Amino acid sequence: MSAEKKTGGKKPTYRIPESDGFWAKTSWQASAVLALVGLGLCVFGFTQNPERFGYAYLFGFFTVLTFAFGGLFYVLALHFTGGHWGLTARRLAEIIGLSVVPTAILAIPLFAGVATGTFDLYDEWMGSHHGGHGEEHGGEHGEEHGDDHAEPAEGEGAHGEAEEHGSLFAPSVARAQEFPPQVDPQPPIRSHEVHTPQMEAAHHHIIEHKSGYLNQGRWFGFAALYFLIWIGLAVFYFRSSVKQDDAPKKERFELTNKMKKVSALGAIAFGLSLTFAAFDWLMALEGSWYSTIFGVVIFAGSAVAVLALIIVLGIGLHRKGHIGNALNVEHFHDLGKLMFGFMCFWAYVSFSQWMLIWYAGIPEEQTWYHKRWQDGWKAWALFMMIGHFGLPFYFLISRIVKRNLGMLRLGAIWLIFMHVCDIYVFVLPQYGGFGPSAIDFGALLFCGGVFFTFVFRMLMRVPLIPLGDPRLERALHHHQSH
Amino acid sequence: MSAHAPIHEIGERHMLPEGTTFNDVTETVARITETKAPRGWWILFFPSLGLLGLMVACIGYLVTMGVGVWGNNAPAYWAWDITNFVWWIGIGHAGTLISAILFLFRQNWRTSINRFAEAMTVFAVLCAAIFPALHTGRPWFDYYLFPIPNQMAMWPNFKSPLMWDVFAVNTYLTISVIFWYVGLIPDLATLRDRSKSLLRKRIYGALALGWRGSHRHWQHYERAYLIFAAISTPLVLSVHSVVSFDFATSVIPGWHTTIFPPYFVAGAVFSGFALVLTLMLIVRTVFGLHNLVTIKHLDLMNKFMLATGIMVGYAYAMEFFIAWYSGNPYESWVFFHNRLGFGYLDEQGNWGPLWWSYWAMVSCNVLAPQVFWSKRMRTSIPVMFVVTIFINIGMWFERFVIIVTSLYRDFIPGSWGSFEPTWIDICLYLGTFGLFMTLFLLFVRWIPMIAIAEVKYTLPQAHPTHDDHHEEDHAHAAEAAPAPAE
Repeated sequence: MSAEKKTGGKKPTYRIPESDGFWAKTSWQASAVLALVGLGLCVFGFTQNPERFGYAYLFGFFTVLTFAFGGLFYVLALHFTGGHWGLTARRLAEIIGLSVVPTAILAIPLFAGVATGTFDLYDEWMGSHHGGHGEEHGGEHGEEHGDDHAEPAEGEGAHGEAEEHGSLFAPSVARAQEFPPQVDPQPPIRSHEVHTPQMEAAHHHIIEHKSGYLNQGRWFGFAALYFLIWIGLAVFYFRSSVKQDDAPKKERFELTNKMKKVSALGAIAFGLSLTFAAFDWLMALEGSWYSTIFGVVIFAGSAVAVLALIIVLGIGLHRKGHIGNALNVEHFHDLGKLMFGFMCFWAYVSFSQWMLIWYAGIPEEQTWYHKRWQDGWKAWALFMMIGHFGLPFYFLISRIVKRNLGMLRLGAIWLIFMHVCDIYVFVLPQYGGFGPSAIDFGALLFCGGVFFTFVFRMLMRVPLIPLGDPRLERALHHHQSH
Repeated sequence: MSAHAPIHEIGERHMLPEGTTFNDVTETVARITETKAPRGWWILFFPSLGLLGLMVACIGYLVTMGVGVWGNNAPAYWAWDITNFVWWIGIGHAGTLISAILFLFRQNWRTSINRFAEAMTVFAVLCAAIFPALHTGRPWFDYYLFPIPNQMAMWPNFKSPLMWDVFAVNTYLTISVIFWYVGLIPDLATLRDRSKSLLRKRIYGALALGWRGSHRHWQHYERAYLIFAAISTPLVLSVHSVVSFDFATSVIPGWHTTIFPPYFVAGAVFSGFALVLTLMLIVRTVFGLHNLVTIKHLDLMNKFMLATGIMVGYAYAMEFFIAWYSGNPYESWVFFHNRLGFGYLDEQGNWGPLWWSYWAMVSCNVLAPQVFWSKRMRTSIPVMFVVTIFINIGMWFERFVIIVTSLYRDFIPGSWGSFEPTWIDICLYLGTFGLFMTLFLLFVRWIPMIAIAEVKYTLPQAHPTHDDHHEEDHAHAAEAAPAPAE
């Protein structure tokens, strides 16, 4: 293989040898153990507090899913731009993208919980469509939380702040009075945001309006469709790429052309499914809230996360010599730049969303950020700004840092951590006040453990770079002009 | 850099015709500034000058009479003026994207079009600046916009996005001009060295700032270029984002939506590419640049437009979906009644009278570029010319739709109005084309409109390893001589 002959004396095989205990065994076994520990915590959490567990599990599941999003994006983008320098990291991205398959399995408990009503994530709108469940459930809610929670239970927290909410939502009260009083006020399902009967009526009115979209049947139907698209794309790209590794020359060209052809429409399908999945699974946690940029924000975070993960895995493999010179400091510098760029993009879109909502000050739009500013979340919100943008900006902007693999890895690990924190603040404030619990940690450990078990197992099974790509030679000899 | 042999089997080709020498590049570009202008240039120049005169006359009339001579009214307080402003600012974005972002992404094909697009950026921003300056009503007080200490203790209101705009646009203009000029220096030196007359030598000599092409000069140059590219990159995003804040920070349905910043940026790049391509097609024919701006360049630009067109389409779809999803009747009203012309009828059973502008926008911006899925269409000059014209029109309508259809039928039926442009609206807009085209034509006539040094850089023989591996496809392009000045 032309790729191999130029890498100096030792011929790299681009495979993890069995002799490397860490990459061949410890890595996936440790992940599996963590997944089991996480599973234990999940079971415990589920028996203790199924409502909280619903939120925690969504957090764990969605965090893992965003890595798969990022992996798919990386693969699609390389194909439709015809870029070549990033090729040698593509196999890692393909494997991360393929993790959407185990993620689909991880989704089953979530969907089952939602379908049976065990998880009350979407009860605000889904509840009213399956019998009396919502009412019943909502009635019990406040008391239940009062007992179960060490942290300020949302029921209490919300009542304690009724006054503050009242003044904040004063315009909504005025608006609510426009609606005819005979509208049957639905009992508040999550008492967090609905307070007066008028407001409940207004809220109910809006939720009713959306029932064409926000309903159980569509929600499940679309979820199946999303996974179909993602699994289809991930499997197609992984299989084609692996097939290309040992294919004869002519077939390699054909496969590259085929992968390129699929990438344009694939990117459109991917972009739309990602957007609506973000709407369905995160934005719909608050049925009345909306933001047009929401899909882009999730996309931006996913891109940062996957680049960070590729850097961390890549540097590990590079240091052990398994990937030869196929990923060297030049590639890591470029990946670092891209990660830095997407981090700035994340900050840009997140800031746009927050600033426009803050500036306009329309009460019905504020609810999302209100929840992330009250009940102890304020510090977390501020931490996101500094941790996900401020600090890493000054750290990663330096060329010296991006070309020093140890420091770059530190930056990447930090951004992965911040990405997890980011998804946390998307989900958990919808449950109630700030108060990390072992349940959240367990869900993350379980989903993350399954994800890493899969990724490390897959790394063992296939070559670490796309050996058959016609442009590989260029990527191997990638030098920078700047 | 990546001067590697293209792999034909996966559709890669050399961007420039094989066998292009360094001298061919210099000759083709420098010749334009040294020979008499072709007839086509004069045919464009005189009407442009005429339109420029029209613009000056319109501004004179407007300043004398006041902004009442525009069709702006209550409730359409903003109309063609801000539409034109946003449209022109958007045009500029292609230049910055090509020169900065594509540079950072090492897209070497950009070298054939970057100079040209950067010049358009500068001229477009100048055209854009006219409108808000006049829109203040008393343009002789425009200096109030700048934080100049004064005895009245007046200070700009930094809480207003309109103020942010002043700074965003001025920064953009400054950086764009400097970046453009820095890139020009080696080429101006080439013109100086080729000059036959003393006057020419002196002028280009002064402009070339003593460039001698030494290693030290190149080192400084490349470093400066990289730094400017890095500074310009956030500007691509920031300028149009701030322009979008002018609208999105308000509470007007149709304006206040969170996707506006990236949506405006994508739209700006989209429209910028369209106008670059429209003009490039004309100039390429008039000056015979077919060997430097090849059909492959045009193909790539069309792909870019297809991609940005789809992004814009995504934003339209999100706005529409969320307008309904929000459950806010005013949002739905703007989108369904004022724009789409579907449902939400008024008391007379009609929909908004400007519904057609929304459909013009969607047809031109989303539907028209879809022809570029076909490679045949992407490489057909007449097709791309027509499509770019459509996109230029569509992107103007986009801003018109955003501005006027959000305003003219708002919350209270009693305050509804409509909008009709006056002749001065129309003439002033046409007049800015005069300004733009006059500057542009002077540019193509006197300044190397293609970056000579940068194009040479992309030729296979510029690559240090060119001689090492002679492969069949560039075996006969082996003019490995160092770049001569002429």
